[in-house]
Amino acid sequence: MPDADAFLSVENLKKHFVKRDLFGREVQRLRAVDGVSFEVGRGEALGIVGESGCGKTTTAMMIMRLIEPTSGRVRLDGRDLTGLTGEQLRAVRPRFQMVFQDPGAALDPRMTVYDALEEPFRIQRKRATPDVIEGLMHRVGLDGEHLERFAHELSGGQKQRLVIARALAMEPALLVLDEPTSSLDVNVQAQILNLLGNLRRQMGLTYVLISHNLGVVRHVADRVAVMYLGRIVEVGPVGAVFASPLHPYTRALFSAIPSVRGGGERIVLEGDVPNPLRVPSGCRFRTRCPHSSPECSIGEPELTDRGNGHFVACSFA
Amino acid sequence: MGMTGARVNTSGRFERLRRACRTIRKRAGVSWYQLRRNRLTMVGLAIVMLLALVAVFAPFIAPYPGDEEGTSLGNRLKPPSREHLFGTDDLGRDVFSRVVLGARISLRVGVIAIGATMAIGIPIGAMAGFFGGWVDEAMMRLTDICLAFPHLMLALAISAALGSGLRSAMLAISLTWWPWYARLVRGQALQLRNQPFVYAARSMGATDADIILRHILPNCIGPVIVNASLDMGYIILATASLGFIGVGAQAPTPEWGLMVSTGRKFFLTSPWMALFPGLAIFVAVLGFNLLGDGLRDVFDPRSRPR
Repeated sequence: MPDADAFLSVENLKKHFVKRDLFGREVQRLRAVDGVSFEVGRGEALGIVGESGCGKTTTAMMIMRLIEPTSGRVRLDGRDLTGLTGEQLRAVRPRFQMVFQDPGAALDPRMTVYDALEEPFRIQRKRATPDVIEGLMHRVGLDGEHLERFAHELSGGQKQRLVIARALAMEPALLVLDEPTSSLDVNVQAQILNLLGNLRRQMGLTYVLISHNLGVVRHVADRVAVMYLGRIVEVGPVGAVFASPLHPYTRALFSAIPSVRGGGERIVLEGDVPNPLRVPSGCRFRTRCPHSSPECSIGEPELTDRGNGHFVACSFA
Repeated sequence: MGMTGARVNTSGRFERLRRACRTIRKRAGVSWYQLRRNRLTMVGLAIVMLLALVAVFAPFIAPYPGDEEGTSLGNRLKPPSREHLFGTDDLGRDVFSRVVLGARISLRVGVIAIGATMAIGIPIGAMAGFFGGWVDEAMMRLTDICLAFPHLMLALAISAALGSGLRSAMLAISLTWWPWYARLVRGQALQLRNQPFVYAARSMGATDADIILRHILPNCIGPVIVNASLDMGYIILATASLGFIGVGAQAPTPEWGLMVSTGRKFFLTSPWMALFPGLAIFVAVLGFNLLGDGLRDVFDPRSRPR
């Protein structure tokens, strides 16, 4: 389903961690990400949801070129990022930036707020004028008084604001947000989510939002992709997927959202997520699927269109 | 007009903040408060500072600073007295003066050897840990080889090749000591290279050199300082051992190990000759170890009270 005007396009991305013995023979193959494809339009926000260990973060790191994919491509604005190395890669890096899960760890403990804000400019060999730094701090709602503090002297919300400011300093077009609020208090989460929403509107940013929090995804994203064991099993507009999830896994996942109105039966899945060292044959969800049949073990279902951009990878849904 | 005024004002405030942030950073290096809480650490610090003062002002402190000064064969092996606090040696030289002058030698050897050790070990360790893979493999095997040399044997070999002397001793010590720093820094770098802040710098387009210099090394500094201060003691001891077995300092250098070695022959009749330089070694090593232990408490985040 390649789309000419996709801003970010990810094609059949795979990351396998292979353990070899002394003679280079393969001993184990961990399929962290096993063929992920999706597209994000300019200015769009795509949410990626799934349980921990399903490959969300690995996918994000591959988009960022922080880990090398085993195979597959990532294109940004038509340009293949996977082929770039060295100077060429460093030159395009400002276009796509990442906001990390734990803002405390994403800031060097030996740097003050000023150092942290100056770093992006230093790296790109630009001058960080006081006006620019103050503009950045203002944009993310950080107080000028904090400039002299160390990262660990800031609150969780302030740290995340600083991390976002650092990313914005590069003037990116794409922000990859890896669980941007999961380490924050609930009231601070709302502030950060609002900040992210405003920034997207004001600056026309494109987001890839990774989260296990369905509420966050619903609030921020336009479309949502559901990952299970290294693959996308369902993708579509947030409204459609939340209103009528098609894949049995998505249904189970969404049935866990507490609802004010009550109703809606909770679907509890049997067993655990299979070990990514031993991915089941055929449909990888069949070992836990309430509707699995013998046919499910033959051939992996592809994402197929169910109308209005809602895709699902299940032979029966 | 009003616009420009406002702008100048912002910049001024900004400059002040920037200056304030520099001072804070200096303060954050070692927390004086935490260091002061530990009495033993302060004893160590006092010993080290005293040693440094003695080394710097040795010619003014020693009553007989010249080699020949106060030397007379009629004055041989005199016990401690008012003129000769630590007595005199087999050539009639003042032992106190020689111990004082020896502080200068030991500290200089320690500083130079530690400097050389760090200059070799830190870059190798940082690169091994940061790049991993074959770089790590190659550098760590080299490290293992150097670590396998017993430093006394290497010192013997080097002094056989280059002649005995302090320079050979320092060379031998540096060549056998740097692997510890390489390993220490490698371990730190291994941990640091997967920290999100390193990923963040990389995603902004930082080069490897940039990341090593700005993020990896500054975050390794704590353990390295702790080790360096502990090792100062050991290196002084190693220099003394080399002097003792005769491959380090050569007579008439007032080196502590050499003095103990010479004094050994007269130990039963004139124990002061070996005793006082030996005591000096003991106190110096103790001082550096106490200081190092205290610094470790400060730098180790687990022991740091929040």
